[in-house]
Amino acid sequence: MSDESAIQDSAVAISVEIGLDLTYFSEAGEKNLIHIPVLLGYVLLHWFLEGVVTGVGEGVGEGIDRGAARATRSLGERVKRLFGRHDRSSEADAKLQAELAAQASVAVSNARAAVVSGAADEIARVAEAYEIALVGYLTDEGMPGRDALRIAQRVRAEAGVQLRAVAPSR
Amino acid sequence: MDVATEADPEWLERVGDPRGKYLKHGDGYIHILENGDGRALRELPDGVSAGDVVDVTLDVSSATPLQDRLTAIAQSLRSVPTNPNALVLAGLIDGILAACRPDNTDRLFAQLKRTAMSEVLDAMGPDATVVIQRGRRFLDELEARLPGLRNGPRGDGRLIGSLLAVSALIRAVADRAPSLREEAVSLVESISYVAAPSPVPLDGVVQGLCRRMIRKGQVDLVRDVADELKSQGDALIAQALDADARSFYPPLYASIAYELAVVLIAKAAAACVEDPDDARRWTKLADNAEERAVRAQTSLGFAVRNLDGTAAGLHLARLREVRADQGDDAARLEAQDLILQLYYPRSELPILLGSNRSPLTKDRAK
Repeated sequence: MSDESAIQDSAVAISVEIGLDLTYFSEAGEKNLIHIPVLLGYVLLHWFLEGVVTGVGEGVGEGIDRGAARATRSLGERVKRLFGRHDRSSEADAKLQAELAAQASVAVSNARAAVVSGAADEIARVAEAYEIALVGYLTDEGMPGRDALRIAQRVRAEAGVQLRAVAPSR
Repeated sequence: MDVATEADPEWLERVGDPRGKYLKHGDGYIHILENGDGRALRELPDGVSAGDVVDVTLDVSSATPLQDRLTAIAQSLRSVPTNPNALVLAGLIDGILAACRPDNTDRLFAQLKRTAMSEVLDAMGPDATVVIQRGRRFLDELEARLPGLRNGPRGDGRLIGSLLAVSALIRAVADRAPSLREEAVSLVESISYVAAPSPVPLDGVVQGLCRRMIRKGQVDLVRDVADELKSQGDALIAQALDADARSFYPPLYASIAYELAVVLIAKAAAACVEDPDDARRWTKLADNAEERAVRAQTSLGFAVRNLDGTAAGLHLARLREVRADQGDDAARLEAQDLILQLYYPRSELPILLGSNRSPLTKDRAK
């Protein structure tokens, strides 16, 4: 299976996990959200992997938590851009999906390089911080905690799938 | 004419004894006096409760062709009096038609108020334990009626959702009371609020209960109640999605009332919390519950339209078109969208993508 195909599978798996909870990501009152979930799957996977790269660079400590909390603001902006698009045609969706897939692919490559040089416990600590930050972001959008936890766990698990091949053994 | 003794028996069965009641008629009302005479009024006098107002204009015709058809079926069933099953079925249809009436919720709510008044408020004494016992028994009995109302069906999702919310909110406050006395006071206050002789409709009472709790600083408790109801509604939807085609609809149908209960609570909370971020969170919770309820309701309508498999056949045709034009992955995503719109359980995914047949996807639109 190619990297692109595996990354798409992860984005789809995240979108399936989001499922009927998609409304929490959109502006209050916005409906008719067909076709958004997979795009959102790419955005969340990209955001999480980017966080792993940044977090491993920041080292173990409170800096990771602060970095993860800061990163949720950037997630909010990305999600807002996704839902705020004017062109919702299927052609525009396909073009955007290709862009997001390419960005996610770069994020996977960068994260793989970062985990090779990082210690396993440090990477786990970073992943934990970003999972918690994602739960915080989602509950701040009104999502019940159990659903936020379920979705954040899925994002972390899919990021893990992408990194597993090169995870350090130390 | 003495309305109380000469009116149509079916009408009397619905309205009960009309003496003392105000019948809405044209632009005004007719007050039925104790001797059975009627007195025309342009407006309702002050202090008349909603339970004493009857909309007789509703008897002129039914609202939809489906209801007319059901009425005709019930009449034809009664024309075969030798078959007891036919009479039972006719009775069930009568119940469904009664539940379709626009005043059904008001009528049942008026009954609930009378029960609350006679079983709890009129029977109160100084002993807190007895008050608690009566208050909780009232809630137990209310909750025990809900499956019958839902499965009858004797009430719609909004009625049952409102009653779920009323019961859960009252219980939540009582459960947190620090002493027996305060628990008794909380039950009496809440049940009195519900039973008050006011024309406020049932969903307005749910919103009022929420507002009272939030003003008392119990916003977290309101959120706990909403989350618990949401959890039950979402679990029923998840159960439907994991079911096979034959057991897909019952949990989906049951979920609607829970989601609508959350809509009522969350909208009331969004309207009265002061912090705009809190209001946004409540609004998003309401949006999600409403979206789920609408999708479940649409799916039930789809089930009726799909009785001969034609509607699902159109979905299959569309998926074949997507697969031919855009490939397997695109067709799979489209099929997953149909599942997330709650048209099919997940077990139908291979059937939507392949050539297998199932009860929901009898392919007729080749």
